[in-house]
Amino acid sequence: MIRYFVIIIVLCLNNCIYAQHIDVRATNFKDADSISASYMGEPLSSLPILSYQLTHHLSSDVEKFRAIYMWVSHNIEFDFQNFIKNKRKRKRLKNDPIALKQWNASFSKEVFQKLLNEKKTVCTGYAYLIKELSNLAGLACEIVNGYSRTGATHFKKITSPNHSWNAVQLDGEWYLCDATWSSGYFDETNEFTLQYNNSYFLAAPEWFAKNHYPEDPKWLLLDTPPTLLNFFKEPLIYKSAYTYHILPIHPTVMDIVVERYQEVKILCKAPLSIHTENITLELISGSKRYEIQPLCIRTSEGLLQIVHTFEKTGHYDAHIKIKGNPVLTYTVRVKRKLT
Amino acid sequence: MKNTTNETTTTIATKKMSLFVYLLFALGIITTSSAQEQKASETIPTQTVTVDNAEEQQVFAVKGTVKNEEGPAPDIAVAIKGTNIGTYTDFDGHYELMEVPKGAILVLSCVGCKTQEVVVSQETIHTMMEMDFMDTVVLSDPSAAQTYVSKPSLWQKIKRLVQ
Repeated sequence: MIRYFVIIIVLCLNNCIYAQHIDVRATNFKDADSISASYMGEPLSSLPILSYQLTHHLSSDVEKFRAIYMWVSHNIEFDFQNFIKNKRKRKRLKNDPIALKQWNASFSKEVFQKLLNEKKTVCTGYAYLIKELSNLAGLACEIVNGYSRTGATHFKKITSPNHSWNAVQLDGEWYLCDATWSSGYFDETNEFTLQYNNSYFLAAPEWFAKNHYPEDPKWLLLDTPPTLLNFFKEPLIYKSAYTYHILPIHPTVMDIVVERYQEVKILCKAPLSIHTENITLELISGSKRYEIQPLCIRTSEGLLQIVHTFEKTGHYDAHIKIKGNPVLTYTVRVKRKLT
Repeated sequence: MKNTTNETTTTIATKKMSLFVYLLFALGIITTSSAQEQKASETIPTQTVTVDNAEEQQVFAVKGTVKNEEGPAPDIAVAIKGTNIGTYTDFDGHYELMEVPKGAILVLSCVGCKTQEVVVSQETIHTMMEMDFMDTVVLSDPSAAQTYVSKPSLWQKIKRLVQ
């Protein structure tokens, strides 16, 4: 008798699971990824056929988009030469809109040529390719231009947009992604390493808004969008913040000023799977660099509080790390007395 | 006598119970199978559409020319939408495609130009391709592996010089 009831309950549960909305990032991408890998090295000479080959075996929007995203992130290299060239030129022409427009026209032609012939490009090239291949597969996709912040950008000086990424519509919902940042990274020696990073694939808007700010705030996909001014002042997050689901809550600004012996409390959203013994705090002040295990407290609201007391005055770069990977940066000015 | 009546009532009770269980069980099966039917019916229409295209329609040999603002456009990809059949324009902007079904859509594309779709209704097609170059603002900022480094203060700079 009990056995029958168990069977019935299992059957009913099965039905319920079927009906539930599926989290897109949790989709099984085995098929999409293997299709994408099988077209490794394919040329860009026919985008309609490339798009068809990548997507026609896949049934859902999210899988189709995954195959395109993986292909672009694995096959297109970042063009450092053109990146520097463009940056210098744009800086020089920033007060001359006519010359800047002319430069854009001639440079974009060059960028498209290089993308086609060498599969090397800058951010706009990645975003362009994602949009084209998605549109050809019947997916609504837009290029989003805006501001970005990384450990290497001196964002206090940013006056015009410096980055492009994409918004894509899958089963009626809009999502954000950044194929340039997914494809690889630069180290201190300006060497590009092609290494796929999943953090920026259909990233949660809350995280995305910490280092991407679109020219048109509607592409933040947030109900209460922050202002651009606040965006530049916020604590800096890194790709591992996406991976570990760490989101800074308080302080809301990156540069903080405290008094000596005063407790500094940093409040973050952090899942329970993060063990506090894996959290370290790296403090850099001039030539001094040391790493400590800060006091970590779980608050009643399920948040994580990281506490540290500075005993010496000075200016510190404070990096919060998980298993050695940087997730957050604050800068702390420690004063003898707060006036 | 009493015993037997008791036994009969209990057997009736268990029979009733098991009938109820079977009913519920059957209900479960019906709902799951209907869910499966729904899934199946979602996929069928797309299949029938492709069959229609392939079998019932008349085919053409299409010849076309593609131009842009500067004249004939070479290396433009021309593909039949929803297939992997395609070709490229030659140096003079000409292309030829055999066995194109009437009503099929040709997709014309290149890296840096606005994609165009043309419905095949005749054997010769002339298309003007618009370049995307003018309205694309090229921006670039790569992902960096490094963590943020504050600019050294004047005091720190002096200290470094002394060291």
